Amino acid sequence: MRLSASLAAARTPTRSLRAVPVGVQVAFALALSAQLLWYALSPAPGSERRALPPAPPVSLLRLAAFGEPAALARAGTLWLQYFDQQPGDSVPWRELDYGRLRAWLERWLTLAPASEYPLALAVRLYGQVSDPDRQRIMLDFVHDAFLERPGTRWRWLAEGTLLAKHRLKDLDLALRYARDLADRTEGMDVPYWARDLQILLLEDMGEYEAARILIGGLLASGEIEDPGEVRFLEQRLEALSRGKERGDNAPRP
Amino acid sequence: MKLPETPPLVATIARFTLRQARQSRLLVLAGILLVLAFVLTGLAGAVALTEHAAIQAVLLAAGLRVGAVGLIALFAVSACLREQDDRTLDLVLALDAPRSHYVFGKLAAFALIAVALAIACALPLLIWSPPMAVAGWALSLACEAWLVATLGLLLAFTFRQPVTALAALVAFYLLARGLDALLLLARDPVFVHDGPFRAFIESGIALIAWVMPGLHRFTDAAWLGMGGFDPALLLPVLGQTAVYGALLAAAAAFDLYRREF
Repeated sequence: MRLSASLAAARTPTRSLRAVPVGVQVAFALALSAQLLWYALSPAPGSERRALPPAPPVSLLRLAAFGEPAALARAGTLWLQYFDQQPGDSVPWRELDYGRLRAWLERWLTLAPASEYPLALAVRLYGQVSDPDRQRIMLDFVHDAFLERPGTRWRWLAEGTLLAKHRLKDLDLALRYARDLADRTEGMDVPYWARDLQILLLEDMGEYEAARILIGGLLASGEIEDPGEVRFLEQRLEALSRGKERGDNAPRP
Repeated sequence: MKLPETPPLVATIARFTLRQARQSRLLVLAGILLVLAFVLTGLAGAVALTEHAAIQAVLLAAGLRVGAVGLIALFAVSACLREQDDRTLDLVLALDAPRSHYVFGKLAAFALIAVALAIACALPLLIWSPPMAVAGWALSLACEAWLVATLGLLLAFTFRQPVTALAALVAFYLLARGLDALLLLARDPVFVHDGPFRAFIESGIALIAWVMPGLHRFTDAAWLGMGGFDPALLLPVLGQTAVYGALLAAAAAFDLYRREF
């Protein structure tokens, strides 16, 4: 049997177009026109140690998300957080490429702008590295993210400010952040202790004192509802208080 | 004013389809899906440092969305094909009623099944998210599931083979959900290649987008997270469901009238 004959035999028998009632034909034409009109009116629309791979463009990640950018961002943030715990090995933060790390954090924050998780990782995890250059990269990321949404991200810059002063020992940078924090949140619902950080810096209080004020303020404000985060901050506060009693240097988080 | 009565054949077909759903243990499968998704997202929540509630709600919602859509797609295609194979459809079409009544009956039953699935998926999300956001998410999921089931009906008549029909449905669904990202990629590519191929891809994607439903605006798990939910987000969902549902229904009726059984 020739190919054309085989294809003809396999084809489902159909009736002529005249078998379709006029009403159905009109309904189909109208529905198709409505879809085209709808689209036209719709708004237009992101054991060898493995190194951290370069972050792909936001548009590619949006494609991979299949319409769930927030879900992909959450899963991606967790992946990034546990990247240094590779199977059979643990990559020290000092060996991570912080340029790439920042790019990944930026991607996840872009995909889920309401999430503060990437900022928490930058300040409380990767910002704790004992390398000034890497710390600056994380602080710069937090500062840039704050400038985009000062009303919701102020507390991360507040923590970043203390990090710059006490761990990085860069008073100028800390003051710049504290001033931005005060200037960019004017008229917003931000507590006084955060806006007054620049005063604390200028008075050059002790490292533990400032950290304890910040954490105590965060806990007292009642803004943090997540029990895990509250527990984490309470442990930090307790460690700082113990350090103050002993009079030694800042305890490692 | 008296409302027009539902033709008896439409109601009969709807009831028969609902019975098929019950016999195929669709809700039992949905229950298994819920348990599996619950366990997996619980694990993700346990390893998170903060935002536990948001992480669990968003991941669970994304998993349930895919699961619910997959279940209703499998059911719609298999139910329609079984009626063709066991000649039940021949009996229905031999009755003194327009063929469009068969399509309406199916769509009515699919709508009820979609709502039931959406409610079942939404209930566990109430643990972590506000009721208003969960209700909006569930309504959007019902719309999405109904559109997918309607597409399954059309493809079952077009291809008359389960594998082909389901493969076409999966490809269509993935394309519809990733359409905005594809459009962005075409407009702002990762690797810029100037040439006729790029223009062809760009115009091809732009043309396809005109006849695809904008599922990327549907059932966004971010509505359940910390960003909050704006009810206005449901307007494009409901509008697109009405417009594209009408198009799929008309296409299914058109195809059914042309078929020789």
